[in-house]
Amino acid sequence: MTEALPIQTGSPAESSSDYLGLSAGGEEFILPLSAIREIRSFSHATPLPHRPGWVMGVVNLRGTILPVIDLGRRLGLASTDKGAGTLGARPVIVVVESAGRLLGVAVERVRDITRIADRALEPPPACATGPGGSFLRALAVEADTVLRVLDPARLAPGPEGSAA
Amino acid sequence: MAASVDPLAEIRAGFFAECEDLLGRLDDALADPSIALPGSEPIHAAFRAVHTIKGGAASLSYQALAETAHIFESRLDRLRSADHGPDAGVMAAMQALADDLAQAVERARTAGPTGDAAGCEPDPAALGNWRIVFRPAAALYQSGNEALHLINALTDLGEASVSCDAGALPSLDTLDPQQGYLSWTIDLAGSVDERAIRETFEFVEDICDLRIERLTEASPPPTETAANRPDDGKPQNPEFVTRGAAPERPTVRVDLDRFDRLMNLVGELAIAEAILARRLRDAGLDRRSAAAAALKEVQTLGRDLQDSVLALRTQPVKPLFQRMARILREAAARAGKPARLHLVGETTEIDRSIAERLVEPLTHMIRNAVDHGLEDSARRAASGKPAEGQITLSAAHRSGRVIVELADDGGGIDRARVRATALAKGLIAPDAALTEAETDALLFRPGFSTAQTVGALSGRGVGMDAVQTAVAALGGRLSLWSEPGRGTRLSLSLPLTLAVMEAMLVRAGGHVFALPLAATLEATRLGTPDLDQFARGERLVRLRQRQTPLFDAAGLLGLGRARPSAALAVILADEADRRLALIVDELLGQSQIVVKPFGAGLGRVPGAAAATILGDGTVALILDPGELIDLAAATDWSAPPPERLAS
Repeated sequence: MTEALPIQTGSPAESSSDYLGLSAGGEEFILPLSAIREIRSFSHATPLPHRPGWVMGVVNLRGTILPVIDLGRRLGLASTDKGAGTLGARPVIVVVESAGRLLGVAVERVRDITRIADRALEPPPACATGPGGSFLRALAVEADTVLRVLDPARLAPGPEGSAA
Repeated sequence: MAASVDPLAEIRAGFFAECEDLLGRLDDALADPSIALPGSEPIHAAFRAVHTIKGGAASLSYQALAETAHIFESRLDRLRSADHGPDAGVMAAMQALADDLAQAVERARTAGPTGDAAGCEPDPAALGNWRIVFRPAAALYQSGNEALHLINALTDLGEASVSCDAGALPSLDTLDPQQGYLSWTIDLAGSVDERAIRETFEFVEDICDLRIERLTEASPPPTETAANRPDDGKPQNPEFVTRGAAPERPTVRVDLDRFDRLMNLVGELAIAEAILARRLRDAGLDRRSAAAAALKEVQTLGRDLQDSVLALRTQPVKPLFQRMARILREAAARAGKPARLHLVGETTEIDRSIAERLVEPLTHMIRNAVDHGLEDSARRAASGKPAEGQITLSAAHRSGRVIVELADDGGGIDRARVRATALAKGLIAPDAALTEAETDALLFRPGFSTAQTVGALSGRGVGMDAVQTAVAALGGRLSLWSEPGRGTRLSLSLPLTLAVMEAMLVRAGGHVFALPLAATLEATRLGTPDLDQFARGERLVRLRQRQTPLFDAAGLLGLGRARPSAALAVILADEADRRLALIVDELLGQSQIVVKPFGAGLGRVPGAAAATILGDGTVALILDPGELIDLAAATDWSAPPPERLAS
């Protein structure tokens, strides 16, 4: 394809998107910036009865009830929440929107925003192994790094969102 | 072209909302016993409703609907002037016409004007000689319309004689050139279709006074009216095209979203008030000070405001029930099983959005009752029941919830057949020992249907599980009773409103929970014997002269446990008066709370129906007594009590 149309390679019109880098459970992931509504500091989440441990509970987002998940635990890694009293260890809530629903995703840290060309994206390996494999939308391969793109739709705790 | 779609769509939506209202009024009129009297008010009311639908349909080019309304209107018109009231046969015909009309409205709604337009042959009854009285309002001129063009268009339709009435014209010095002072009377002869006349005025109908009368000298009439009617004071010839609100009960239509925004603001206000009150108390405000009195006044007003806004949100279940009456007639006719619907508690108020979202589940339930509930005539006769199946739809307030019940006097659930079907579908094991309740619960399993042949109405296997899902989404619960040979009763317990409730706030296991006050019987200190029993793992204590299951609130929810020293219990009862006592750490007092749904995406939260935001901005769960009781019942009582588990 690129060989047949060499003029398109690296042209300014090449499509690309922005991604937010974040760390959860001690590992690095990126989320499509288009799905992110806001980033806010952590506030106490009210726990919900009989929910899996990765559902932290609900918080008040300007008058609406926002469910919050612990991204680290959701991905099968260490918990994002290091507990109260650990200075500087309070997580950050990234509010993502998927299919019209808002979900709070607690992460340890948000990093910078990266622009990635669409052609650098590869589908996740068929046997998505490793931490959080089934939550991956794609792999972004650039230079000598491989970034894991999370799929916001698969993080939600509802029946349709629980791909894990 | 595309730009004109939107405003028109809005007008159409308004028209259909109005139709819903008018169909309800029509049903009311037909159900009024005084309709049997000649020239009674209900006949006129029915006529006005049908007439308004016809006018709207014609102006929006819903031809088929206008036809149907026209046929009905002619019937009613003859009835209006008849010297004897309608007998049972005529009433049945009227009812059938009303059902046709409701269906035509539905078809027009779904098919749109083009799909509806089939069969526009001129109806001979619509042809005739006409007198048109036309008085433009100022708005007609301001919107660039020209009376002359309209009159010219009319003269193209038939032989016209036009006269102008300038009687309203003021003297020149007081004349406002922006106003319309003139009116015209146009007599049209030569078998003109009324629709053609209305089409001429289609775009100006709401900015002029328009009266279209049949000229009776020329076509001696089945519709001879106006002359000798006894009652009066009201405009007897309702050929004035009225638009918008109906005369009896002026109403304003408000978009539900806008309304919810208002409701939300009122809720936020209540929260802000609570925060303010708390801050002032913390700052050491004297309770007897003038500032405290002023705050109290603000709180009272806030409460009144909330109640008033809430009252706007509710409406009687009547329109919903009337709609169900039509569904029943339709289902009964198609299934060939005569059935009568009894409506009880039609004035019960219910949240508008709940009423809207009940249409679908209730429709399913009614069709099910007819298709599966009622036996055929032969079997009914054999068991000594009246030929007509009796179905009762009722609504009532109980324990701060709305209970909607549908009962039939049919054959009841054939549990042997349910079992056989479940077995055939692999839902249960061949040797499964099921109680009656467990067997009945199979009906709510997705894909289950006992219909041996797929009926025209129900029995596609999307019945009861869809009902249950819809009811659960409203924060409601569904229960079913059935007795072989006697009938089946389905009961929906729904929240009174989706907006606010009175609640008792408690602390348990370090969390704050809200308990619906209507379901909270009392708070009590547990005696030492009760506590000893509890510690031994016994889960039944005697409270208020009843054996009551006793649970640790936080433990039941899987959220920690109560302080063992608390010894404080709150007794809850659900709408079926099932009881549960919950051990809590502390009572925080009574409060009006704003109900916030969890929103989609969380799935069902066991034990909690919704959440609320407290004065300090944190979220507290609103516990649902019925669900807690279910949770408690599902808990293994033989297991050691939670506080004995290693933490």
